[in-house]
Amino acid sequence: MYPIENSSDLIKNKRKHLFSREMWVGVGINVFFLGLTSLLTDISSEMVTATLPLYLLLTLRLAPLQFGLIDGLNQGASVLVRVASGLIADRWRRAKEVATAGYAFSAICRIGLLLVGRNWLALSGVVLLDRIGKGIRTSPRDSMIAASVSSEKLGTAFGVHRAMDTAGAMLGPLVAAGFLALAPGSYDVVFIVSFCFAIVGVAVIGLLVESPAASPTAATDSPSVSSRTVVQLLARPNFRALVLISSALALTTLSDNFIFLTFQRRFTFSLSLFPLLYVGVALVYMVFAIPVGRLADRLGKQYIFVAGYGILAVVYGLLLLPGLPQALGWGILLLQGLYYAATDGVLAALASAILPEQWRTTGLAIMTTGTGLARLFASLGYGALWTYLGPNQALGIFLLGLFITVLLAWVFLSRVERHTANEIVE
Amino acid sequence: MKSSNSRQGRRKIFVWIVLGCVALAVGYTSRVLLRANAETIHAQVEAQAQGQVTPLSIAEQRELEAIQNQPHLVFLHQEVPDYGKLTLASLDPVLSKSVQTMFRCDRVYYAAGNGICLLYDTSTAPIGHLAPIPVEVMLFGSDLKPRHQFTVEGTPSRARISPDGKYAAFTVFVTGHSYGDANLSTATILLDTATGKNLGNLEEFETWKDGRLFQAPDFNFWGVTFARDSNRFYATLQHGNAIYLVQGDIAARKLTVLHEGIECPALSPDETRIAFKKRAPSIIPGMMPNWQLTVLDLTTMKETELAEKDSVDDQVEWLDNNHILYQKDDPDPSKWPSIFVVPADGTGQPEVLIPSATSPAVVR
Repeated sequence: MYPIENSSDLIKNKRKHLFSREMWVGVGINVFFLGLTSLLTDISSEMVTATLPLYLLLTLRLAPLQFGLIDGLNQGASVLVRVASGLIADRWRRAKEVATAGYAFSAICRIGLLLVGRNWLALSGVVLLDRIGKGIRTSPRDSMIAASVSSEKLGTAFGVHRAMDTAGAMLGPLVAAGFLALAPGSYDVVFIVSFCFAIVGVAVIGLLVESPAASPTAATDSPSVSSRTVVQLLARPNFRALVLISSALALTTLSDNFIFLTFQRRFTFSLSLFPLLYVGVALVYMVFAIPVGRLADRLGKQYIFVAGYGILAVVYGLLLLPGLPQALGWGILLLQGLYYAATDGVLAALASAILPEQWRTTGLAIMTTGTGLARLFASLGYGALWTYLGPNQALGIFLLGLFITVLLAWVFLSRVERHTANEIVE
Repeated sequence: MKSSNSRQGRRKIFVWIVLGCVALAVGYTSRVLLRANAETIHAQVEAQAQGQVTPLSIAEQRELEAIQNQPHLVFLHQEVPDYGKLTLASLDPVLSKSVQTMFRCDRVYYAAGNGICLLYDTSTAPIGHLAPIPVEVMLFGSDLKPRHQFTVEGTPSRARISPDGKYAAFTVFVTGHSYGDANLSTATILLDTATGKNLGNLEEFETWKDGRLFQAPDFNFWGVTFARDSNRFYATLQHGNAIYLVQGDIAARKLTVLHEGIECPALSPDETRIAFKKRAPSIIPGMMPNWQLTVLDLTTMKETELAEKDSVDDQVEWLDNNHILYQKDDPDPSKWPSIFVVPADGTGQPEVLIPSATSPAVVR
């Protein structure tokens, strides 16, 4: 006979279990809630991203050149605030508050879009503010994910988060399309609904997410955080190596737009199918983010990370290969999604593992600033190579660059692991 | 105990926020759905595509016919909410009478009882920033009702009707958004206005240069202008970085390269000159080039720069043999473009003819 437990105790235990670290693929409810915030926020922001050009063109009748400029602001703005928000979050140990402020910033922008009307300057201002919000929130949020799980589950935790994040990015355009089908041409409805999603996202992180408790070791050696922290962090060989490697890899990474443009040139198909390519890649990324994250925890994050870029090199190679049948061409999308699953969240996990907890937000901010800038240069460089040498030559040069960088990364990152091991022994 | 209480409190606030957001989303959406009968641009565009443009009042209709019986201007009003509404205005004296119709276009041209209208099809606008937006191409008559229509993908750019009304031509950007874009691809298509039949993309015509067949996959054509003998026309050909003036023959489906550096030609009514935009490449690659309005004398082959010194990206329209009309963006992007007039001999100063208007067509 089994002892019959008090039923209310049983429910209590069950509830305890629901909110414990073991639930949700073993990463805990906090990571789930952080993922939910990103999911809701991405639905909100992708609803706007997918419809803003049409709104500008069809409702406000702004010329395409003018929204080209707004697009440009999208790219660079968030870099500026990343490190500052990291320092503030670390210094006052307020990762959650800083991240919530970042999400709130972007939520307000949804309403702002409707209020500014056709005023181009104000419109650019709103888009800029939205990007600043994104710059503010990313590193503190990733740092909270890292602090919510034990170090051997970092890969899985970031996998869970990125899977939910990507799900939101895929749902956003669908939700927008649904509302536009219901009320054609009513972009105000899209923006209001997008605002609602964003507000619920802010409420999830502000009210449901718990500030992860600092581990005792972090409390004892707590060094002060100042602008010198950036220098001190970069003086740590492991971290410096990771920043250099991830930036070098980003420097040879083509943006999705370029990959898809090349893809479209190789396998001529209608430009109106373009959004499907994004959906295809995102779907693969979403499905594989968690399993690949788990694999990274088991086999070593650095190996999966470098292997991800190896997959990207295969993508470049396939795009260059003459006479590739169309059926195999779709395999390129699968590989591109796998590349994302193996690199995006895994890099954040890798960095979180080697960064000291009290400086983690600043460290993550430095790293994403490095990779963000490198990616921007990569796009500019690729655009120039494409124009002056031709598309195949440009891709060939990037393939060569990526191949060399992957080899170097493999050598350096195996050393990083030995270093980390030594540090633990010390 | 206290922390679990505050946690419960926070959950309660969370639930209220979610309920508030759902109420806002549902409330706002239903409010918009309830005003569905109201006059939205979208509803009008859909009605227009089905040939049901809101009729004018009897007085307005009489005024419209009076204007149509004398030399007049056809253009598009720009300011929202009247964006794109086709407007007719008398020419002698200029703008003494005008009627704004409910017929909308993004680019229009009109000659000899035949019009062509390019209109973004907002009803089926796709989601996603890289997909081209469908464009309705409509051929219409003096009653402003579409006779023939079909859909193409792209960005509306140029439209012309031959002086006898027999042929129409239009240009859309298939990729890219301006004539300065590096990855520009255009489609320029000729139509028979009576049957609505597609007479072909200029890329399907044979092109001849210096007595030899001239072919390349990167050919782009734009900006057709018709001669009075409507079989003959002129257009722009881009090959690599070179821009050519070509002369076309519709019956022979043949194009001949005449001259270099002529972009968006517009033949003068007496057919002695061609007004065009002259490209000065920008110093920074990828930036918009600068376009100077210029007139080429076809007998002396002499070029005269016009008094308009701002960059103008338009296919101009001759008001008479001595003046040209064109649309120019306002330097303030929140203001609308306007129709300007400038003498065709390089003298004088550009002046606003019609504020907040584009796409002028002179009907004589």
